[in-house]
Amino acid sequence: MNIKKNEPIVNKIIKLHSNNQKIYTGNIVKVYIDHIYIQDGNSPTIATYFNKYNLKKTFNSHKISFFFDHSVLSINKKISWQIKNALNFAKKIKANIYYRGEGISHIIAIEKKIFMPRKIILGSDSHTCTGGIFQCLSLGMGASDIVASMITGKIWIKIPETININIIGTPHETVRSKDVMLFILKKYPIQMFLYKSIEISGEWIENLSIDSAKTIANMSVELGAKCIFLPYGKYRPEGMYKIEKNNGDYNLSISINNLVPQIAKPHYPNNVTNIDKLSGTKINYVFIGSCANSSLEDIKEVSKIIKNKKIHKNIHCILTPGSKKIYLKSIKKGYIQTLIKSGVIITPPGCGPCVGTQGSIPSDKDKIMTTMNRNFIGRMGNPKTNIYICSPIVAIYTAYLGKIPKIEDLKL
Amino acid sequence: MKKTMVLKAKFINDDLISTDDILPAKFKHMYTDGQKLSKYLFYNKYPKLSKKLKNYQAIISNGIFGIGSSREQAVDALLQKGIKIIISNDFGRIFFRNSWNLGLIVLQSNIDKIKDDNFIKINLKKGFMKIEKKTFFFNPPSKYMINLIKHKGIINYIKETKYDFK
Repeated sequence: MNIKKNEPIVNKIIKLHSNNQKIYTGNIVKVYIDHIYIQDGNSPTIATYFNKYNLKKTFNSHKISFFFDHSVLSINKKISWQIKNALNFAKKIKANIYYRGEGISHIIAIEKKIFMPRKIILGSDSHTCTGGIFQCLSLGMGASDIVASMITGKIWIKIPETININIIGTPHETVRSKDVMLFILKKYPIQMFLYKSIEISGEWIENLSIDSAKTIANMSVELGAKCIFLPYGKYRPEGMYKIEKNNGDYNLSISINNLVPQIAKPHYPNNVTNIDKLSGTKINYVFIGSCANSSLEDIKEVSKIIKNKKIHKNIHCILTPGSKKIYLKSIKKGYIQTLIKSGVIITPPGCGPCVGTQGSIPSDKDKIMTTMNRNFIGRMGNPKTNIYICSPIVAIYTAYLGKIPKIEDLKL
Repeated sequence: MKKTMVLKAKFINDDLISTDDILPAKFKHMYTDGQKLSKYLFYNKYPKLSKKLKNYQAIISNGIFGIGSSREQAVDALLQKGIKIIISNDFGRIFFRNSWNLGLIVLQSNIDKIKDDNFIKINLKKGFMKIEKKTFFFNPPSKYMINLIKHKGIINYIKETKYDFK
């Protein structure tokens, strides 16, 4: 018996943006773009292409934004030079500019309502998928695709298959959305999600705050997915579709009952294990930040934990707020003061040390615990290091103890 | 484009190669020139591979190739090294798009472990290739994708066609 299913969200959004109404899986269609944003790792290349191909006019400069977030404090003069060129180019084409220190593109795209339900947004950064938090079809693309869309206001898209993940149960109280994402990465091979659109459902995820849910959307690219759509919840914008379980071409049910904090070991985000398998491992560098975990909620939580305590003497600990707005609120609430008193170094809003294009670059043989979304070899600028990924709770306890904590150590 | 291409292929035995593994971020932020970037291919994961690659025109991999980052510069660096085709079991979505957009042919096929330094015979139109007397199949690229290669990339293509692809 054939059960007629609801049209997947990705199909609905594409239909709203295309003259072609034959929206079937596998078809390639041309869609109109609502906004394009570009980060400073790719804007120099994009500026070069405009010059090389003698391109002058964009389709609409109000719908194009440039962010300077990856190299806020540049590590060498070559990067500084590239940034200067990119900034001049952004001014020349009259794009919106978010200067160094404003924060991470994806976080600002949430704050400034660039990500909105039913929109199509392109970003020159793979973590553009973060827009799935508000059911925005937000796609990371390379420099040529971005240039093509900057000129024409359009892009080609292949209609993907949809996979539903229904999350059931309640995890251990110290488990955060980051742990759930790492758990999914552990449980299923990436091949299962490649090119697919993910729709997530379940009571646990419906009750997540925007800050927590954002981490799930952000890491969908680590699963290899094309895009992700999260359910409606508190404080979300109007216009989000209802997500029903078992509505995908493929359907998964994941129980998070009794789940404990998860850690990704070097050198892949899917090389995941339970925290207790690594408890006691000595660490010497902790970084809290990145587009996965740099929210006000994250900063509040780590500040609460470290209040009246000191960072372990063997730990170099950096925290980078995701945006200027988050930074200012954290100062006002006293979180930053608490963190500084405990020995945490605060760096200006942006990507922080996540991609090795600003400090601190780790030393050889460093063992790093971080809230980043990726731990590929050399990710932070030195291949002779080991990078572990975790939630902010595990990161701050690691910074306090100087080693990976036991579950019993984690007190909220 | 020739009907059958014969290319010398480097085999990379690896389940998962990220785009960070192909080209680390730091160098991408330092240079926009693919020639300069090509020196740093696989710099962190396989430091000796970049020099060797100049003797090859194809890469074959038996895992997922190019997961993660949007950096198209990884594709540019491979092209500048002389790589024309990559065949892998799977590709990261953005890497796949970036490759065709710049004119690097990427093909999905079920690859077993094969010996290194093979010559592969590829028939793009018919969707098969021969390695070590074995035949591997793939979906022949669409007319649109072939057009991207013929125009040497998507930017030339949109300039000439006003992006009116079929």
